[in-house]
Amino acid sequence: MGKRQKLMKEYGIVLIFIVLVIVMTILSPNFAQPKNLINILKQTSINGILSLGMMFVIISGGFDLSVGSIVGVTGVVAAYLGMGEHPLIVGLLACIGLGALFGLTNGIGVSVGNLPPFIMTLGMMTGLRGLALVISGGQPVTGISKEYVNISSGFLFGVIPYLAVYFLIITVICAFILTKTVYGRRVYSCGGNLLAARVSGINVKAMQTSVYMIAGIMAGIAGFLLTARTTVGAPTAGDGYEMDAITACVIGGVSMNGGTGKWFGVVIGALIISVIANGLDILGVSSHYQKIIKGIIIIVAVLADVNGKTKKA
Amino acid sequence: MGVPLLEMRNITKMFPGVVALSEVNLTVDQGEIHLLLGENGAGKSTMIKTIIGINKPEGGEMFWLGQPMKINSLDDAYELGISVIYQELSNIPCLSIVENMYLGFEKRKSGFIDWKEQRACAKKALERVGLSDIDVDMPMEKLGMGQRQLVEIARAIDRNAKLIIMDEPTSSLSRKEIDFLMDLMLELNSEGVSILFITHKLDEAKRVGDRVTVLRNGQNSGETLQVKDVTEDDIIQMMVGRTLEEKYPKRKDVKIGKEVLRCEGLCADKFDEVSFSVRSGEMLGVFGLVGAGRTEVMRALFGADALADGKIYLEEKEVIMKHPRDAIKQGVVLITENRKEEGLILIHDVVENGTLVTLEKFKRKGGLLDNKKRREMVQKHGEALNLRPLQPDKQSLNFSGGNQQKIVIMKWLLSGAKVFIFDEPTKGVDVGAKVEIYNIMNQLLEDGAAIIMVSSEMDEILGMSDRVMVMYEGKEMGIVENDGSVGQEEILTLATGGTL
Repeated sequence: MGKRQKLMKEYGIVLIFIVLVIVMTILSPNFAQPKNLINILKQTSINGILSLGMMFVIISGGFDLSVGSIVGVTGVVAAYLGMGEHPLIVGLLACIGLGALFGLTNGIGVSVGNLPPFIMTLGMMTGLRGLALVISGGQPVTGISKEYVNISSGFLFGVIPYLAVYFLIITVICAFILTKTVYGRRVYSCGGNLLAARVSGINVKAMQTSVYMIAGIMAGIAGFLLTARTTVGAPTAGDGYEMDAITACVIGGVSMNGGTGKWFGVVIGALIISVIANGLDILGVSSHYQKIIKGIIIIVAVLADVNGKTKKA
Repeated sequence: MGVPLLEMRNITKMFPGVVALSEVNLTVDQGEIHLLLGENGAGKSTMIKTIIGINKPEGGEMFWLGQPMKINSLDDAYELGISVIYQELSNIPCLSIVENMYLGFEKRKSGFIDWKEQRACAKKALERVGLSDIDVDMPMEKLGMGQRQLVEIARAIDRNAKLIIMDEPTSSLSRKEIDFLMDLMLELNSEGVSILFITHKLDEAKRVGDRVTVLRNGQNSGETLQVKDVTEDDIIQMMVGRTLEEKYPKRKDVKIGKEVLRCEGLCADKFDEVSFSVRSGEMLGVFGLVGAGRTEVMRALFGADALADGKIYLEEKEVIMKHPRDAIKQGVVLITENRKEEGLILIHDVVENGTLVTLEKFKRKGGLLDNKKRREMVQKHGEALNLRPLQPDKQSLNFSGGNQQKIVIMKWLLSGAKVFIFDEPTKGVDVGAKVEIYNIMNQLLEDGAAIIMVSSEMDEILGMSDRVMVMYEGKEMGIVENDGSVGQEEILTLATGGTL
């Protein structure tokens, strides 16, 4: 493969993103307005954080349907703890702790119980949604403090939304873990060939368990932020978010077979989803058509991935 | 003899960027066993795929019984009477024998599957291959490798195949099964069926073959010859294009030192009371037929499978291996038999595979990996191992069998192991690369490592080992010095349950 082809393969997604932004700018003058761009960043952040967690799981060879429900549970819990009686950090830590616990459950089910990830996380998805409804009594939890709302609505230096800052920090951490640490490379090797990883002395059960914990923690953080953003802890919040996260990974070139995928692909993938949704909104395309377009994008992205798979590492 | 059954003239097949076959000729006569030999990558598989219509050649002509052959798909091939028995069996394990036999070619009566007819025909065909009292409704997975192979042959017989193509059918069979298969081939042949036989094992080839065609680099290597007129050495020379000076290179200046590893009374499901030791600079060969429990012993020693009982001493200190991690930490490593399934992460490049075990060593202060150093190390070791092509960023699935084996070896070399267990190190590796792997082993021994080599190839065992442990049905039959005092016959006697 030529050098240019290889570059195209790795960074083609960036190019597609740039083209998309240009097209949107031409089609709608409102798209490139600073206010709208900031809005897109805000829209991307929460899905982006979930997608980064999902990325670990998919690269390791699994996937996680339960993250949307974890967002629901932790969002409700965060609302109860965010009414001004406790410092905000209590709510955040509770969300992270719960997310980690749910992730641990997923991980143990998959690695020790040998359950297919689809079944294990499907069960958790259903069960946790129920749990969110039970603890909230089926009603949105309202009355969170102003301070808590500020966490999402504020701006750094008056321009950059806090949400985008959190997303950026988490992205940097994830990128370092995946590319520069022993742990990160082992995640790739588990997804690439579990048997070979085991024979190479890697504790594959611990690896599998830990990636679900990462996904759970990310979902906990996302739940905490979503409640701040919407100002209520809705038990139905986060419904379907797992699919958006998987979509971002897939568009970003993370192979569902495991073993391959890059962090920046996932970030761009999440941005592409937001840009398309936002752009179509501005253009006045109904949300019904938007779903059709999103579906087509997923299939086309995977089509490109499958057909280029054998040449990528 | 008359008209040749299959004649292929000047076949040329190109793939993007490579010429896979260049003007290759192959003629199979009616009623002969024709050998098609060559190293890995010589073009044998491409040739088969061309015969059965999976590949469309860019140039050349094909004739079947003197008539131009029109073949567009596998169906056409079956129609003509060509059946293929693949190296990796192509059946569906959870379906029954009869279902597998008629998969895609179901016998029908008014639109529905005619089970009665299928069962009767299957029984008849299975009888021909010596499986007369087998239940045709049994799932395929209950059969051993050898029996599955026979079912495939029965399927070919049932379809009245005139030409059966066998692509390395013996690579996972036991000695007994191989003998049976060879006899069956001769028997089918005497009934007028032609066989195109592809194998890496030259002794088998010589036993049954009438004529031989050798391919090298996608071209004919010399003329098609009568098997009785050539020696194994002649064939090897045609395959590699040069004479191999030594099939088993000698070791220089290796001092056999102190005992490194000792196992006492190892037991588990598949083996019982196995004890042995190996010294630094020494190679212990482990011989046995398929199913003797050799691989199982080594996997348990390495911690990949559970050990029921027994003690392992490393440099006189008792050690416990519960997980491959433990063994690796102690400096005991296993180069597994199936490099594609357990040895390599095929979609990852050489750097990732080569440094997988030793990632910890490439940590900088602060815990981040030094990816540049990883690459340099792999480059350096790749050079030493003569890895071809020497491209650290190339995916390991794009390397040939022998070079893939080198990548696996590199992974363990970097770990600085003291005891290397090689399980069938040259399985599916071509003749030239074999010698290179032996040279690497010799180098390891010179550097003071101890090697245990499990192999089913008698030649290799006798050519390389200092001592040989022989196993039979999970039992240790004895350990003999390989100093010329014992030969092939004695070892085979032990391996089949006899005593000396």
